[in-house]
Amino acid sequence: MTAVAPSRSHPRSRPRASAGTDPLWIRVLALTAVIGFLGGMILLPLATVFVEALSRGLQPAWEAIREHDALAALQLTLVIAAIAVPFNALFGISASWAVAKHDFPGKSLLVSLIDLPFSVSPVVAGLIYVLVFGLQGWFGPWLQAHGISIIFAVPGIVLATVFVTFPFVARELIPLMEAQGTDEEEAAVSMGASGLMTFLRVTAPNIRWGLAYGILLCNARAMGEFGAVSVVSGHIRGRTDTLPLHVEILYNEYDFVGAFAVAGLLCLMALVTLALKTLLEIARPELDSHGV
Amino acid sequence: MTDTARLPKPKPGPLDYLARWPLRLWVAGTALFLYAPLITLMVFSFNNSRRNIVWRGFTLDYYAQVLQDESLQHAFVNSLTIAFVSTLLSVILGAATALLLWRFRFTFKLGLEGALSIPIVVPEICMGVAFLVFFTKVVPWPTALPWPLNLGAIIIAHVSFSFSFVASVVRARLASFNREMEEAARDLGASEWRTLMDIIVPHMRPGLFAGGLLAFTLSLDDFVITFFTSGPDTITFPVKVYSMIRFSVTPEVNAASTLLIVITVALTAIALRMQGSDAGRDPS
Repeated sequence: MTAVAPSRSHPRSRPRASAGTDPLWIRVLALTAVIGFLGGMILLPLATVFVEALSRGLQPAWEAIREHDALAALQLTLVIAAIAVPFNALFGISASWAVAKHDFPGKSLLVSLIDLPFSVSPVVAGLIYVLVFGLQGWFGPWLQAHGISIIFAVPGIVLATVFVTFPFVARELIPLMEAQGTDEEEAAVSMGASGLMTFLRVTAPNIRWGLAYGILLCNARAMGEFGAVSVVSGHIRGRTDTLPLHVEILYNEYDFVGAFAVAGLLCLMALVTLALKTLLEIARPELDSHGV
Repeated sequence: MTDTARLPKPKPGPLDYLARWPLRLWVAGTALFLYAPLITLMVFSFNNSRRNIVWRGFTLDYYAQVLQDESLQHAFVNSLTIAFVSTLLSVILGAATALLLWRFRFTFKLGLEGALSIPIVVPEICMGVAFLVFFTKVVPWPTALPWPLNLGAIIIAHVSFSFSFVASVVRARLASFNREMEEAARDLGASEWRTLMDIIVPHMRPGLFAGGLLAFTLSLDDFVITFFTSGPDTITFPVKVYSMIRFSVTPEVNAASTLLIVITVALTAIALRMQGSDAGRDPS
């Protein structure tokens, strides 16, 4: 991944086909095409959310967000992200350290396992926890006897969220750590630094931008996940209802302004993420080359 | 599950954080919590019992039932059709977007590139409800069309999120293109079009395949956006599985989910391999 340099680090100017010498009509056509694709397929639907939310003015939309259940959903969403993201960050760091700086049997299996949640349908991701912890599942009767609820409660939502956001941090860090090698760490150790000290003083500063990027994407997904969470949450208003689920509930109750107001809030949170992501890319240009 | 517990070094050095028991326990525990349920799901799809708890011997009955179930078949054919068509369209649109953003300089380029990653950061539910309104108010989509055409709305919705993933992958691939190749082709008298088709497109090819496979899996797995854009006749496989779970978790659900997992995992593995190998092979 890191072998791919971003386009802006290619200073070689092209004497003939540089953008400035393209005929105007080609440039206009190209720009129209790009804006057409992006606008029509992405920006237009996104704009619909805000238009619908504000269709009766600012007041009803604001009320919908300030309403008790919506605030509870917002709080739950933030709590879930606050648990799932640090968990995955910690795991991502340990796993990428193992993968990038060590050789051990089963390494490629571990890498495949890390990637696995990307290719499992969110519905299935929720289902596996229902199967194990649900009332009719393996531990269901035991859990019920001990008064622990996982499915249709917050722990289940956390588990499902952790599962779907699992690969984000590790996938950013593995190529980064592989490219950096272990020379600097070995130098630190040979001069007497302890393992923890080496990590904090040498490894951590080297990976901080990649880590921030991974955490950002992980957080965006954790706050927006619907499919997996929908399977394990009992859709109890004010208790196991996250923001994305709340959008669906409001929609099903024909409270369109409310649904779109809450969806608009989610979009705004995502746009903040996007702004931070762009800033990170400017701060650390080689991140560009990471596809997803 | 405990791969990391098999680190070969007998005496952990200061850097072998993972050779210490707290971190091993952490990694193994995480892997257990995440993957044991997945394996349970798959193993118990072969269990010869209506209940999911006790193992009663091996059977393929539930697979036979899944494969004979007409509504599941219908959903599966829908899913595959949507995935094929939307992948084709996303690859074309995504490649064109990547090429244009790479080739031309625009005034709002940063903004346009930001717009490209909107589907990556915006929650799917937002796009889902947005498309619902989009297809009822903005571009009213007729509901009573004959079979492949009634999938049109879902296909468009799928293209809208997967084409930007394709564009990201292809753009990463294009970044490694050596522009001297293009100059050489032009110096030797090739036209712009000829250079594009003979020099640039072959370079993009691994990215196109990887992006296409990614789009295919995303479309096949997608639940939320389909859930909001599908009607009674346009159920897809994940949406069908979801409604089966809502009813009750039966071994048929396990079998259907296992099929879905196997297909998408295989496709993603191929996609990631292609994406990984093309980056390493061609340092610029």
